Amino acid sequence: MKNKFELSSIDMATFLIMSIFGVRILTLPRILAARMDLGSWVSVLMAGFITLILSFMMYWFGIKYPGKNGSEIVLITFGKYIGTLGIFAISIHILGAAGMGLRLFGDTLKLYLLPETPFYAIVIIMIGVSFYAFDNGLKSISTLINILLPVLVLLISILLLLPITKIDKTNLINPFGLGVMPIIKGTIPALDAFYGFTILTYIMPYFKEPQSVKKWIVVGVGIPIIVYAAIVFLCVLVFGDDEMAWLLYPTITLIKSIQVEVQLFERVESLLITMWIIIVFMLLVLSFYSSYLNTRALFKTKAGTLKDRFSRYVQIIVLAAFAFLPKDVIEQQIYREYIQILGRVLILGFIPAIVMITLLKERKKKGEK
Amino acid sequence: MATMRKIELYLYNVGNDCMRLIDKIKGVFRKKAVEKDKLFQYEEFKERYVSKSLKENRDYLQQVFTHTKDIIIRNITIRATKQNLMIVFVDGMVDRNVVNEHLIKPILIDMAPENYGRRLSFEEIRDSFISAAEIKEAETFDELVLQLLSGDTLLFLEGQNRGLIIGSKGWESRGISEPTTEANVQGPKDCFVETLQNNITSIRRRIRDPNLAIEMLKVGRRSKTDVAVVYLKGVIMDGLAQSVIEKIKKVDVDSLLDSSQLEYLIEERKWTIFPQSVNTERPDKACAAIFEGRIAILVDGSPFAVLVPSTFSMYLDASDDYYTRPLVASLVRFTRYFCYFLSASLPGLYVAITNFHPGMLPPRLALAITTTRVALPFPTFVEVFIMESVIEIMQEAGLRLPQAIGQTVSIVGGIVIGQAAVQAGLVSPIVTIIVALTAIASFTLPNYNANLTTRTLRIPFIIAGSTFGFFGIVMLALAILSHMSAIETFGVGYFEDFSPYRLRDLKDTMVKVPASLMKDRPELLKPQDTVRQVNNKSSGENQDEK
Repeated sequence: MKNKFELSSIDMATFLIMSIFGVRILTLPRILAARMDLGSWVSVLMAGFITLILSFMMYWFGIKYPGKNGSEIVLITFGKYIGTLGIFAISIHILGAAGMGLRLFGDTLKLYLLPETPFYAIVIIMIGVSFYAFDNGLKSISTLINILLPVLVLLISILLLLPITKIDKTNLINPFGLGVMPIIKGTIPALDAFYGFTILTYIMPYFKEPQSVKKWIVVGVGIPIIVYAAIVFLCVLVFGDDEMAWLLYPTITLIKSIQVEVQLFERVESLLITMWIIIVFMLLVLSFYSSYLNTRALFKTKAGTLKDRFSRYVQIIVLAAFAFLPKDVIEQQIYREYIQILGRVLILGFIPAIVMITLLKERKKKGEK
Repeated sequence: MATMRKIELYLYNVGNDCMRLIDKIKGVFRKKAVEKDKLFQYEEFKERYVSKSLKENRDYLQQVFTHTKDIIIRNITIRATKQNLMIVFVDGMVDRNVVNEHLIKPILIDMAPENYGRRLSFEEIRDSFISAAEIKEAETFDELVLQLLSGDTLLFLEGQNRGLIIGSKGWESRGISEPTTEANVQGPKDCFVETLQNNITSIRRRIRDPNLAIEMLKVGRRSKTDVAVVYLKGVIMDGLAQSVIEKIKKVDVDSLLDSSQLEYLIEERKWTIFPQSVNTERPDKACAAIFEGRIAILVDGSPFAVLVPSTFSMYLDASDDYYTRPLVASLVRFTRYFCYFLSASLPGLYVAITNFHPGMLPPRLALAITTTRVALPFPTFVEVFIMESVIEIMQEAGLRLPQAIGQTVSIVGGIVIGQAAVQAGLVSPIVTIIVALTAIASFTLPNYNANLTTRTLRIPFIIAGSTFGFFGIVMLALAILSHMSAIETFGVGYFEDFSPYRLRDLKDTMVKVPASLMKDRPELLKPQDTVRQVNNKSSGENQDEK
């Protein structure tokens, strides 16, 4: 009765949405507002468009190398040495980004919710539960995503609909005031928010019908684009960008400013926390998963062996190290910058490079024939 | 002629008496070959063949059943043919009517005159004298003893090394009554009873499909309990029935007294608090599951059928949902899902919010809670814990006591203790409300096992809420969801009706769409025959996308 587990096509959308929603849901408006004006949501749309192109590139080489995930493809196309180096870089980026996300999560939770609880306790619980979820396997992860996604979408929609009453119309004045250049420049930082789409390449080998996931890729990238653009747009409308550049976490401030008229709950913090926990939890689970697949491709371990188990636990240590590494918020910011740069290099460099190499190889083969 | 017969008979009797005398003399001098308290195994019976001598068979059976006084061994002589027979049965297990009217009477009384004087063959007795319906032959004692203990009657004939098994099962059993654990307002009101045959009949009456498969198995080395695996061929997923049957065959236990024991022995995950197969005492529910492509396992002696594979939504479905209007049923179902959540986490949430995030409450409510708590000696956590323990004690007491006293307990416990505890200044009235609401929410769950699960989950939720506040509650919920996502029963995931998103499966989960829209069987069970309604236009398309 034990069949090999296969994902159905719609899972592509749920995986992508879950994976793309990341910690930047809290910080993206500030990052963008610091550089430009009301038009920042246009940058988000543009970044989303680039993401879509990149994900179709990933889809394309996923089809070209059936049954192989991203890290295995990297090894094939770049050869042993550069490939190994590449996988190391990818692993560091994945775990680093997750570690930083965890750090950010712990900090915000301490700041707004649990001021007395020690940071390490929060981190240990978060890592423990997410590792447990990851350790249960892909089927369990996909089920978890499918259960949590409607909850998350519901929470986000509520949280985005509530602040509408607080919009300051004067902030609408002067759209595109600073010209087009800042918008284009803002695309790159906006793209950072979409890095989660790389999960696509890790789950590609598990689809029952890999050919039919195309439309779900569009849905899976499209919904986060809309949500991110809406968040940025709303933040600008409510705060105006002068104020927003000074807010550490504009989205939290936005939501904390809501006072529900109906006197059931004073504030909708509980919804925000639930959303925030789900986002970080899924970030960790999927990071564990993709990073584990990286290690597996690198050391060619077989499932169920002692080595395999060891490689799973190693992820925890590396991730926790990244979370505890920065001493304070400023240092954390610096580390985050480094990881962002690494991410940009990987995403904008590696993916097109793989496509190019694959195409060149094909041409070579044709020439030989 | 008549005098000749009389002389013959006389001589025969004299001969018999002489033989018996010789046997007795022999018996005195014979060494006691077997010890008195020998233990017998079914394996041993397999090698023991029926003897041609009636006496030897009787001795053997008497030896097997030394301390069993309800075994009745009756010797019969057919006067007309001068043949000896032996009938063996267990008192109380057999239908006396069958034994008297269809076995003894035809042999002894309704003997046709033409048979006088000639010896009847074994086949003749089997085919033309015994008027019972069910009849079988056996040569070894393993089957004979097993059937004897199952309520059948054995018949041995002098000079034959075979025995006959005459179906005569019939014992006092509970009449079919209303279900006690799964009460309903609308729909059928019968329930399973302790007799396997009656339960199979209950299912058969509802499914008159020739493809209804009922596979009989025996589980229990000593108890030899009958187990029936019921499913619909041509509907059920390929290979599912075989894997369930193999799993049951692998079970090697001493005894099997209830279906739940079998359920726990064949489930895949042992260390979980979540039930993995649905227990039901409602034949309609069992039949609905069989029609969906599931398997019902019935165990003799248990009024509960076990339905596998199970999914989470099954625990929150009541039969009533299918007999009321779909919109109303959807609302009720939604309430039940909400209650499941409430029943597990409400006390924990209360502790979390009052201890860590009082700012989330409106000021007046926060003040009201504070006012009631001013003079209280214990922290909220302890308070909730005390009240939870009280309600657990009351539930357990109410369950174990006879019904009449049970009500008294609930009144004394609920009203007197609740009221008194508040007045004595031990707990705040809000905690009483919370705990009572939680308990009532748990009673809305149609499945008792699901109810027990939420009761168990309450304690970790209280601990999580009191240590990490809302963060703890959400993290615990995520951990539980991860755990539930990983549970599988016979290749079907616990949450498979929610994941992946399939419209066909979602139609009967948190909401229930009208029956006219449920044209296909749920896809998660991968049925061979998917079509439920014939005027189905969309059976081919609309396979998995939402």
